[in-house]
Amino acid sequence: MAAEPVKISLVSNKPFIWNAEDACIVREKYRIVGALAGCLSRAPRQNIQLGLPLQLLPEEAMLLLQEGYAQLVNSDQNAKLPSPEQVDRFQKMREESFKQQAEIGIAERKLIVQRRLDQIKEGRKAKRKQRLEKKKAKGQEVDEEELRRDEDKLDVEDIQITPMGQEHALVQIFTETPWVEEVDTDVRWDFPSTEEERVRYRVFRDLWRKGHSLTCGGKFGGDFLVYPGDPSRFHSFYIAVCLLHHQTMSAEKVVAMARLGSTVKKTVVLCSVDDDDELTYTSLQWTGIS
Amino acid sequence: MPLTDHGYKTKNWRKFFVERREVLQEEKVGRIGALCRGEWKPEERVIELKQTGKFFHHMGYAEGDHLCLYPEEALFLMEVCSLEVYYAGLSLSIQQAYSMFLSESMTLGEYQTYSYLSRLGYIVMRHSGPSSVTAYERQIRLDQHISDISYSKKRKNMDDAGNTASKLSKTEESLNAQSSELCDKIPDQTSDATHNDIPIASTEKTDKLEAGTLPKKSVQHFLPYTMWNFDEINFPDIGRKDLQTHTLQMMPPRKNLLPSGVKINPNSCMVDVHKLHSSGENATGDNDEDDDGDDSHIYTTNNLTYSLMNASVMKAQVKAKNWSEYKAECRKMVTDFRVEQSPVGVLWQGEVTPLVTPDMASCTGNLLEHLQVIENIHQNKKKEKLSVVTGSRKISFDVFKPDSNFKKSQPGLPDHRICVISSSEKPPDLGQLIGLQKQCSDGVPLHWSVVDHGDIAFYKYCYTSLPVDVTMG
Amino acid sequence: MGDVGVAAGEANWLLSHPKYKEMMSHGFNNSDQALQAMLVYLDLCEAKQWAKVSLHPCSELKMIFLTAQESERDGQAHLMLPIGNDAELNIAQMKQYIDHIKHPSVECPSLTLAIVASDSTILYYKITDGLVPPDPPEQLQAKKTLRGKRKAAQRKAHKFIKMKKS
Repeated sequence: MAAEPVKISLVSNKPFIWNAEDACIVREKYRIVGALAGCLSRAPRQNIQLGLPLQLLPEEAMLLLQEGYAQLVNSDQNAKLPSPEQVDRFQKMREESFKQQAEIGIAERKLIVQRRLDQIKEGRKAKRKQRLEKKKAKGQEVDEEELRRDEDKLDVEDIQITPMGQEHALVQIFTETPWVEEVDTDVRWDFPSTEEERVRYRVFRDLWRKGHSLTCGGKFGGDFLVYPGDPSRFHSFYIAVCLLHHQTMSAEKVVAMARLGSTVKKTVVLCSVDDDDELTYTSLQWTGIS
Repeated sequence: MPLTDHGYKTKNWRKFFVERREVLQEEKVGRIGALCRGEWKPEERVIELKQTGKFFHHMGYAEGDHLCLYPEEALFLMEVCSLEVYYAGLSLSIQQAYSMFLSESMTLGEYQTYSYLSRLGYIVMRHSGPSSVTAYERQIRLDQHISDISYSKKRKNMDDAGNTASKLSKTEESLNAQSSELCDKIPDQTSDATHNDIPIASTEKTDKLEAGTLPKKSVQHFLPYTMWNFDEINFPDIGRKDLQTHTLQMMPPRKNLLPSGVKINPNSCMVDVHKLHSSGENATGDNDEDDDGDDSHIYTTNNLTYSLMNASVMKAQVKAKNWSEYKAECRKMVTDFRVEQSPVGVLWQGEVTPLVTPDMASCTGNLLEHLQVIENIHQNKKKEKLSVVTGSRKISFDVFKPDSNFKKSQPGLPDHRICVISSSEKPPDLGQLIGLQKQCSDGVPLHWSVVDHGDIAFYKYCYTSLPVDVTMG
Repeated sequence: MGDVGVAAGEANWLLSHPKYKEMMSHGFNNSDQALQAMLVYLDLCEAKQWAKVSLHPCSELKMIFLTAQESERDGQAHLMLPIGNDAELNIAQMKQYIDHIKHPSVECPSLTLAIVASDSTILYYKITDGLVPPDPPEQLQAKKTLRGKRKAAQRKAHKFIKMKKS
């Protein structure tokens, strides 16, 4: 089943997903977590649940692209002067929206009027009576018939409804640019470009293929945090630290990493690509002997 | 073995995804009447506002007749659905705004930090350089009365020195006006002390003065010693040429400073001035001593020695071009003298010498300080010694706590300052840290916002000085 | 390499210990590591009171390693490799250690690095090939209490010895 590929575009050379559906698909279907980086529409002023866009790790984006789940979209157009066609589309879109809103507004008003028709009738009657009473008091000729006349004939259509003013109309601030005519996939992205990036990417891809979910691991001093399932349901098991195979570190640093891992009840895994181009993992744990 | 999809697809979990999808799909919608409108000006990289909004009291600036917003401010307002930005007749999407507004001068990481803090309600402004109001001015609340340069200019030309200078001169004028009254009331102040020094002599104030905010001619040199009342201390004038006698009457030492049971004969408080002079002029000086046999009798029989030796040694011919050279020379002579006098003088003869010399033995702390081979670098002191490299590091934001009385024209001292750094970058080195701290030496904590692919964590460097255990002196 | 050798000095009784002499007889020309092994050996035997502690040569690496188990009853034996805390490690090297440090009597997938500091503090960290999931919380707790009991028993024993002495 070949689903429509998810669109990834670059901002400041960082991969982003702008579409809500796409953001959900990558998480639910492809176990790609990313990080929401924008304000949530419903409650914009908090940091607990953020909204679109979804920022991806370069490894996440590259994986989606390589697996054919996503396509990289040229976003240069977003930074360019809008074309007259776009402006035209936008204005038509907006006029259309105003018209619809006005119609909906009138329909809603009518409904309200219908519901309150009796009250309106009573009100009108009382007003007329008052007016006639006044006339009477002044000794003017009054048509008694008129006083008694009922307003049964009053109908919703008779009542004039003022259309909604444009300042009350709702407009949308679009998250994803809606007026892009065609998808342009001609875009260059240099990743992975260094030896370290290549190791990181291979480690990410391998662990992901093994069924894990991964997020960035900066908060625990590693490259990735590795979860046995969706991060909303599990604590991470591993802190993956990517190293070149012959990159040396002091024994003290090994101790520091392992100790941190044991404190947060995770295993530190040293990941690298060996001389035979095979991925190797070495788990690092505190023994508890002291 | 990681769990498979089916293992944990419980009801709750599915509910989480359904809700997540729901909130993510919600669009940002606002009533036209409640939305502000702005126009993107790509050349100036600002957003010109058509009308002001509620946010204007802590965002944006006025330039001439125009109200402007910085890109990060506009982008954030778009995200919270308070602003519509038009460009060539098109209402920009947030995706477009990200692509257009972010640049070298406002990076993605910086914006993410800005919006993170703004979402929490903090007032975040671009870093405006060190505060031009001194701690003392704040203390007496003078900063609230400085209503000079319009804020717009200050924000626009933050690095413009002319502005700061004009502000400073005004500050100074008002200060001078205030303190001149005070000056009259305190008549016997040293003449070259500025008025600014009169009200207080706190060290805090002097620090500020050294920062170059106010003129520097002052009596700072004496400030640490003001515990002495020089009016009550009688200095003998041993240099007087027309000295009648060869001896000078000195003040007897205070009783409470003497060991018990010691009585001071008033005659013992005589000092042979002539001898002092001569011993300075020719180092041997033995002959002179013989000449003044009687006086030296008083001097020695009572066994009261005055610590004037240094002074007399220093009087030896010192050739120097200026005062500092002279002082250095004198200091060296004292050291040499002490070393010579020391029973272990031989220790200083080789290439390797002890870290301390006998003349340093003024107090334990002083000795310990000299024994410390690797000096502690204190964040405020001795910065000059380090090669300070600010380089690519800059302070990005000043952060203020939410405050309804906040005025962007008089923001006061920020509660925090923020540096933005990417998680892939190397952490700052000591030189950079000190350099940044030096830019703003007003005690506002500097935080590092570490941006890790959309994740933001704040860290702070804490300076600790190890306790010094000095039990004597 | 290590400061240990220097700090120990020539007159150190450790150097005349029969176990040390035995290690030197392997001819690895690696006195620093032998000394570290000696310290680990003593730590396990004396301070930790582990059982079946023995030293073995590894000719491939020209290093000394140990086998030991926490107590007589606890059947799980450990492989231990002493290294200095100033050692420079890389992944290739760690792989080599895991591959070559083997003993017929011990079936243990992981290798414990005994990291010896110059003040003879020893830290024990375990390296294992592949991904080893962390212990589930319950197991972690159980281990903790077991260790706690052992320690308490050890303390009691020490006290007893002290009392006897005095």
